[in-house]
Amino acid sequence: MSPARGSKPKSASRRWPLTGTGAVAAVASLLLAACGSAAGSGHSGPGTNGTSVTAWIVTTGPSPINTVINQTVSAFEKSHPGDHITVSYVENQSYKQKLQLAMGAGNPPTIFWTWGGGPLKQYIDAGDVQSVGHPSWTASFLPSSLGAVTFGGNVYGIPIEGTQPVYFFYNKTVFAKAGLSGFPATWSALLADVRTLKAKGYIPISLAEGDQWPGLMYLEYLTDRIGGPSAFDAIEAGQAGAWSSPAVIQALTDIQQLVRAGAFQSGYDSLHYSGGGSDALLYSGRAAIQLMGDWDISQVLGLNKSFVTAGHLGLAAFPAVAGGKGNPSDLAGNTASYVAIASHATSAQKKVAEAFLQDELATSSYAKASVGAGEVPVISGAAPLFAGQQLASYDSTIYSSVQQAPSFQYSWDQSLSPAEATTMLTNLAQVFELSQSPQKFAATMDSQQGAS
Amino acid sequence: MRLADLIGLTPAMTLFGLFILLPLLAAFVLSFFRWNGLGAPHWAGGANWVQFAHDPVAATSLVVTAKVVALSWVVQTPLSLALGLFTAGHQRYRAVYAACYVLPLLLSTAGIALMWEALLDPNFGGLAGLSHSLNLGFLQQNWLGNANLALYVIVAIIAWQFIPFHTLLYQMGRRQIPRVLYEAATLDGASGWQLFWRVTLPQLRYTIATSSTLMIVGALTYFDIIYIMTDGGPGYTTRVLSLDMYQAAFQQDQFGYASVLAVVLGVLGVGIAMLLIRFTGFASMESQQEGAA
Amino acid sequence: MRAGRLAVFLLATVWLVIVLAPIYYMVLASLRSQGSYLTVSPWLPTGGLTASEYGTVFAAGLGRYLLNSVIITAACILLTLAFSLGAAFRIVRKSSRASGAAFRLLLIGLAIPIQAIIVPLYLLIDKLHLYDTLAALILAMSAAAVPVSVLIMVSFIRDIPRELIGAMLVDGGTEWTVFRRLIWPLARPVLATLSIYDGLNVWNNFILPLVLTQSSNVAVLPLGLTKFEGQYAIDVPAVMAAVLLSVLPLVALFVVMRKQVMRSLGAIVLR
Repeated sequence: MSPARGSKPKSASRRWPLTGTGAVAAVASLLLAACGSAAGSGHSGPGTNGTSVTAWIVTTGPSPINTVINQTVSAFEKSHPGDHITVSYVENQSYKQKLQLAMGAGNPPTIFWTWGGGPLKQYIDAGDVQSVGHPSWTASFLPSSLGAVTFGGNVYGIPIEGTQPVYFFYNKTVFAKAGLSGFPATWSALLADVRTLKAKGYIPISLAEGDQWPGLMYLEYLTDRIGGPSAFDAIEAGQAGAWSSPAVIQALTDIQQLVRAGAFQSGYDSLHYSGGGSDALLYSGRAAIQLMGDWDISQVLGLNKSFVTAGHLGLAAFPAVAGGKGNPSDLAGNTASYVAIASHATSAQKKVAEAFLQDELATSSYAKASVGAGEVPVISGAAPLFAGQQLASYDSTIYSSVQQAPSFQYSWDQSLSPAEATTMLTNLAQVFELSQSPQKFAATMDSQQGAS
Repeated sequence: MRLADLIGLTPAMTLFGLFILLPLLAAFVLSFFRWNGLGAPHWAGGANWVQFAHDPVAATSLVVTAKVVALSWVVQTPLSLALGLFTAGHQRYRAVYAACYVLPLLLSTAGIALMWEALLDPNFGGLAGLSHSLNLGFLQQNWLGNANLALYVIVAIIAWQFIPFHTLLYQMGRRQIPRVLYEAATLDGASGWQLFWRVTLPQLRYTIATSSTLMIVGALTYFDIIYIMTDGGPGYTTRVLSLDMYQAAFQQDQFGYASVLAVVLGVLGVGIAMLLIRFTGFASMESQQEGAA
Repeated sequence: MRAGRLAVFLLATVWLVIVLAPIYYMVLASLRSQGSYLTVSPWLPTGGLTASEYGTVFAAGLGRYLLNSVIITAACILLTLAFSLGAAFRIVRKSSRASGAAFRLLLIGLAIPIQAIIVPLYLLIDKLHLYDTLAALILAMSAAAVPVSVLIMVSFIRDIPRELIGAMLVDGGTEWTVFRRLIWPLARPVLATLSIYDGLNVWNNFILPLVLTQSSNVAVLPLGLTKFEGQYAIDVPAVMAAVLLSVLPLVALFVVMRKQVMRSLGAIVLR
């Protein structure tokens, strides 16, 4: 079965006709009116009583960073009398859809949360996002951290939550029991360890491929280790045949080798990370390894505190691949999460929003507070802030690895267009199920290029 | 038009027209446009429809949807009928059974999905646990990850959720059958199965029609459990049309193409409903009660 | 016959187990902590039970979500049944061509999936300044429930002999008399059934609240359940606790309606 959505013919599109007859016109004008109601939908304008702006932030439940954000907003309102920022916390699951609809209808919040990358680019292309230009505060962030919100030399957002690189996490107790001294530094050593663990009755690697994005992490890292960052750059730039590059094919082949070696637990293709099952395999000692974003540390801490505090949770970089071009210090994951300003806001609202970004978020005091909330900020010089934190050793390792990474590859599913990303994830899941060959995957993805 | 018609029909038709028909019309119009949800839509002519005709994913989804509909009917109807007849009896223990049967109907879908996901987990789940302690090897399956199993598991969970409602319908239908019909048939020498075939089943035909229509139309547009549990996977084995449409709209931002799928879904639903209605007389405006009434 | 009865009894008992076992599992899981519900025995109450998740869900605002759900469910049932009854009455009376046209339109509506119209519906609701209100949910969900409710009502009240209506009108009765004396008694039992059917659809509807509301003070229960879901993790025991707690008002509604169903059915049988 060929899973690709046929790419759309690039017909010369003409503008929606403004005049028409009958019901079609009525519906059309309804749609158009709804789409075009941009101006004036802000809830208040400039006035003697200051300005109100709204902000949508994705929440992870009652998480400490929400408290930090609320305190920061209060501080801002105190120093800017009359101005108000109303923060709404939105669940991750529904956020994208909600924002999309609000943008489409022309009434988004003034300040909105984003991962940057492809989806943000889409809003920018539609004229929905206000550039903040290239203000001086950009210099205070780590160089790799603003790439996801920089387009055409302009910056469109500021980091609000910490960096989330992906690492291998492993159960040190299981490793010791299986007679393994430490985490393997090369792919072939990893394969050997997988066989050893399997022989000793452990599940070598737990994988929540029911969500599809955990498998993508393998492809991101393997492609980088084999072909270097340029392999994905070609894909992102839409070069013909970029998906069929030797690096990608090799990465997919390596993935299937891992699957065939029985590295993953039974039912890996339907397990969801959100249910906690893949973590439970790790901390219960049934599985040895999991590839996951650094949020997994606080996740496991919440589920099984002593496992983390007693130091059983190991963290390791993705191994090098022999003969590969990529630097083993390269990272993949989410560089940070950001807030951006919607162009639909009034100029007074934009001014307030910009002031909030510059005076509150781009400061070392905000970085310090967010460290207190368990985040690893991407601001320069944050290293000393981690001392005394519960997860200080993890935080310091993560911060310095981000600082030193020659390349920090942004998650592919966020870098590509939404249509290409969903096709990629669905087909990659089939690669993991061994129901699709690497060549088939590459051919499918190459035929997708240019589809919107 | 008469005043009574105006008063009686206007509220329902206004509500329905404004919030259902008008958006449907808009979806139809939108199916001729390219729109990513942002900015103005662009005229695309029949491009979305051509794309639909050549889309292997949509074709697969249609097949999966047909399977879900057919299997749901085949599984749910006999079970609901049997359980409905059972609970129609007036013994006390049957009332207790009936009360318990209702429970799944009351649980919210998200909760049902999460519960079954936990139960079916091959490593930690309740079924795997039973398999270990009772030595029932067949319970140790990769229920949702096995491409040959997942669809049947989903159909079973949908049945678990909806059989209670249809059981209620049949229970109600059975209790409406006048006792004299059974007495007359008994006098004619009928017993047991014959009573079932000669009295119960014919008398329940409107209940069957109502239940089947709701069941089939419901299965056609079924979404929640599949969305939460498998999101269409593994591969495309549980990707029903409504899920395909949701993904096209909200994950791929192809609102024009999603509208094509929406229209197809709507037309299919209406077509099947019309067929059922013609076939069963369920929605006829005339009284069709005959025979013993 | 004996064997048939036994088979049905066995089937009924097996089904009872199939219904109850997962719910028992759910109750047990709601009494676990998020970190342990997977790793302890799934069927035995060993390994430490705690009611703390029940506290968690109330602290997270379950009460508010429940209240919102009760409000929209009650409002939708009232609105749908009142409007549908009016329409069904006129359709059965067939006194003008309008009723036939309305009926055919509603037949189309029977099978329109809500996902098919969600985008235009959102734009419309936004245009009407109803976005993020309970009113938006009530209107949209009632509208969605109208077709099936009308059809089921029509199938219940269409058996009234036309001569009876004619005689009543000749005797000086009005349409209102016809409604009160003939339609209403026939429709009452189906009202109870439809309350349950429509009520459950509203109670469980996830996609409309997801798209049409935003703030947590108008969040309804199915949406509220996702509040126990963070960016990466779901607090499964908390969701189980919330689902079980949210059943209670429904049980109450159901008990009331069940009595109503049975009483009205009794009335019909005795008629």
